[in-house]
Amino acid sequence: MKFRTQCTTALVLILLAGCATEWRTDAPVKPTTYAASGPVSAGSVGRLPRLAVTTVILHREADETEKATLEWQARNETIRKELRQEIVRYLVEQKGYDARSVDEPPPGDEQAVRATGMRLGVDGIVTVERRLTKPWSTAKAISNIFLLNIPLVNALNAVNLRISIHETASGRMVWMKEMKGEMPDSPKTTPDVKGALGDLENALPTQLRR
Amino acid sequence: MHFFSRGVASGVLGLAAPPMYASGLIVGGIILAPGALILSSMEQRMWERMVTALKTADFEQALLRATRERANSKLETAAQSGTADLINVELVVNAYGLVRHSPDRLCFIASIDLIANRGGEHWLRDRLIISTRERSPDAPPPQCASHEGMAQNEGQMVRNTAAVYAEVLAAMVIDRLLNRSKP
Repeated sequence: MKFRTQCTTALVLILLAGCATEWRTDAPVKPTTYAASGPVSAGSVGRLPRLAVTTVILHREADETEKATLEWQARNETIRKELRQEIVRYLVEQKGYDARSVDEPPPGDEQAVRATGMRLGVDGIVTVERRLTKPWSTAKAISNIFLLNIPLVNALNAVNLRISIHETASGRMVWMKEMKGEMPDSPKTTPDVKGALGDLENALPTQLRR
Repeated sequence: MHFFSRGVASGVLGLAAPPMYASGLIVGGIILAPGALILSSMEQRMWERMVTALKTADFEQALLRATRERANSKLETAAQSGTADLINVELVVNAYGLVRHSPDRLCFIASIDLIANRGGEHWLRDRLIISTRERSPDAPPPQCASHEGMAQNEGQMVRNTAAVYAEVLAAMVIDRLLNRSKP
């Protein structure tokens, strides 16, 4: 009976957690711009108060002809800029981080993260990946019925926003959050930054970084 | 054709509908009732973890300890230079704990009063607040998170936040005392 209850609870938890996935490191998090001390636990991302948010990696579905237009490129830039601004604003105002935008792509590997972080004088690098899809056509919706909702399940599990934080000290990823569910490409579509960053620990306050 | 005359089809549907609705209700109930019970018990466990974490954090003692330690190190130079006077400092904890910020979010808030007397006279009084509203200008933003975020790892975020707030408030208290001492 207990096993059955646990199984049911696990099933409900999986269904509830389906819309977002969070990962965090078990290893101690090390800052580089100040000497870590104080009451924050060793695994807390809050020990990395100075963050650089790199250019947003954007994936948008469209036809090749549409992709060649200037409007398409301009819209891409607007989406990237607005999303990054919103993330920086949320990190600064709601979470107390010294976050700032940097106009460069995310570093590729751990060595590049270390080099970039040291050059920028930050404790960590924030990487943002956004995926927008074309709205479902009638044909796709009808075919979904015949395919036993498999396309729908895939759409619900598709990642629309991924935010990850790498620490400068080691170059390793220390925190990552994925928001799931296909997001239609529309001017009205706004990213759920609060949902993505809401459970992140606050930055270590400035008074405790002296 | 006579069988399908007017009224017969409606009569059949009328007979079939109640059992269909009843079965729908039963099936829905079977799905929803355990789900609601499980969610309710999960939320109760989350609250229990958060409350236990708050109790074990011992915020008042942590604040007192942090203030004493900071006072010893920061005010030592003033004492050695002979400029220090005997100041009686009282810290009154008005409130600390979790408040519901929105249906799915909780915020850890804290409010303390700093009362300082010098030579038996009132010298300084200030309220230090870490909250979503009316936050002190030098206070950090409050730690907010979902119920799950606050409760995970036996309320680790609650314990960490209580420890950080105690240290930050102690630092804010010492900063105010030092600023007030300036000529």
